[in-house]
Amino acid sequence: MIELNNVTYSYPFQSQAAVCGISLKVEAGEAVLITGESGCGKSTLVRLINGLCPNFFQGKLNGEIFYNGQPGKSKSLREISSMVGTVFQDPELQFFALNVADELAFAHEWQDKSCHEINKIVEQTALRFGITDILSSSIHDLSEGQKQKVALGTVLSMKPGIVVLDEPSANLDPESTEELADIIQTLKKKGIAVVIADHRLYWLKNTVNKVIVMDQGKIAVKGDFSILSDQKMLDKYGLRRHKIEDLRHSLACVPENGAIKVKDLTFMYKKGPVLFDKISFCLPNGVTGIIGNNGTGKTTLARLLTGLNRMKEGSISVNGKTVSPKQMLKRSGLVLQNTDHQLHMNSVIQELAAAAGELSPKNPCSKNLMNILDQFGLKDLADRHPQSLSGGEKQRLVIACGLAKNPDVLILDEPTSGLDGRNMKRIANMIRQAAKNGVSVIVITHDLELLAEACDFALRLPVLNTSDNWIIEKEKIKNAS
Amino acid sequence: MWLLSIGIMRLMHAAVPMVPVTEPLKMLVPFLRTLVMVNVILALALSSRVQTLLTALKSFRLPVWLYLPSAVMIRFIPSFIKDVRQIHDTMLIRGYSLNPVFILRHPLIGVRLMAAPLIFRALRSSDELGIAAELKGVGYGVPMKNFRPSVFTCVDGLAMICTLAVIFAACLIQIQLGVEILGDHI
Repeated sequence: MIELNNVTYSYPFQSQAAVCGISLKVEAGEAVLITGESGCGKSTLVRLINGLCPNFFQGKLNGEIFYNGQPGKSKSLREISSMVGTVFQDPELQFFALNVADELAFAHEWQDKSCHEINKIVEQTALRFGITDILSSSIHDLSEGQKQKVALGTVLSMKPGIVVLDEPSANLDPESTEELADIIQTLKKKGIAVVIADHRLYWLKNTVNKVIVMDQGKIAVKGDFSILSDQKMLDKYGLRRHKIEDLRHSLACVPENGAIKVKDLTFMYKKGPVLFDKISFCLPNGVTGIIGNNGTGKTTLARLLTGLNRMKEGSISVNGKTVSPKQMLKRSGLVLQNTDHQLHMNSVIQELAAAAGELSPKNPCSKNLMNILDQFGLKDLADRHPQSLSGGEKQRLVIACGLAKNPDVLILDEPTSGLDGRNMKRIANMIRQAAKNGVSVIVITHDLELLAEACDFALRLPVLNTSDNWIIEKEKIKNAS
Repeated sequence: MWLLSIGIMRLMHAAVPMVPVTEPLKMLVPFLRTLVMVNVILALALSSRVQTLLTALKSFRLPVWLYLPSAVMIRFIPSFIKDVRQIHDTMLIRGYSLNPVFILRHPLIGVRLMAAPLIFRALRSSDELGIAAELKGVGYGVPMKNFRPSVFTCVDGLAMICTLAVIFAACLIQIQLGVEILGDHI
């Protein structure tokens, strides 16, 4: 059980408190959702619960935090972390080993336990989470859902009484998210208190007992899950929807004609199986969502369409003209999931100028570039360093950069993972606007809300190589509806 | 590689005249030494999984201040390679290729395009990993225990004997033939 009593916390060198006057109690066997717009203070609240604030980040803490009735002020971070287990948004970043078994064992190797004991813990944890078959797999070969399970397994093998999940659904597909909800239910039954900080809400409908909406470092609204059905409140605090429709099976499939035509595409990686076998499809103007399970080749298809990978056979034509992969590189934009890889320059305006092909612009603040920044709500940030922007701002900037070279195709890989409702809607609007301007936009996403907000068509993977392809797709949609 | 060696030897000769370049036999020795070294390292790199290196590192029973940074360095080799690939892809998409012409024309921008995202990514990763280490209770005075302790097997014994035999043979060849071929100044 954890209790926060009138807690106010400020980071070092900050005059304003990150959270202010927080009182909160999470009982054993209870799950609490903390949500709110980016920068509302939910990450700080998570850090206060797991002891990182002030033990790791320093800063000034007023008020009391109790762990199982004992005051937290007298406890070291090690003592707190033996009671509170934390799983981060990107579990891979918290892994110290490169294969699953070693990772599960890692924390126990520092606890003065015998080899036999550690081996037993690894075995039991793997059994509990159904990951026995991937024990010797490299962490780089795991799906996001499997990574999440490994991280959770590592944390739960330490037998904490409280588990904190920071943005657990951000990188998961809907099926893995459902599985995670089931795991949380099991934890509750075992008497573990679960604290979840997340932007996505729908998956927690039958899981959480309490919902806390934060705004500017304070608890704005408190209640059970039903408080999230108030649309005005969701809009006011920039939250995502509490209920969403899964359009993956019912969204119209891509039409038989379109601006971009892919014919007889065949591709396989070296020594790998054939991923695409003479598939043909068209991409219309508008927004197309690529839908498929893990391993069906969504990202590979994006790389082939942008010319980053060369197809073994087949061709791509734009408006009736066949284009080579080299030309496709010039005519397409790709926005990757990780924005950190895509920001190179000193300022936002320079970043945009570089993306537009002006590496050393004489006048980086040209009217055209400033207009683009204005459209993306980044005009006031033109001189800021791109890496100092918030997650939503970075995402908007990389999309603006993708559009700066006027591409025929713009491909976005998970553009809204980890974004709040306001930023997600903003990005959906930008995508729609780009499509309106004649760009064929392709979105690879697990975000059902983005799919519903932005996509007109769906390209479902795997695409069959028969001429009956379209008929089968239409049949599927008919059956689904 | 042979030509490269000759070129480098000529440069070295220009700087330090006692390094020989004229006689092909004398050229052969540093070349072969480099070749052996490269092949040994290449064989190790191609045949070792990063996890194997990490496991080997554990068995050295190093102090935590030495083990942890070394382990993190090795652990992040695959992630680093992945990051470099992704950054390279981003650059290609934006129309910039880090070829020699581009680097000659824009040396500073070339470095910036690759280094800036890598540095920020490394800083972020180290921050997150530092937090993860704290939360996992690493380095609080308790020595680390390898849950799969290494055992000295017959294969290891055989490998050790072979290694010692190779070292002995190399020393013998050097003593017997080294002076004859190279003279006293090498």
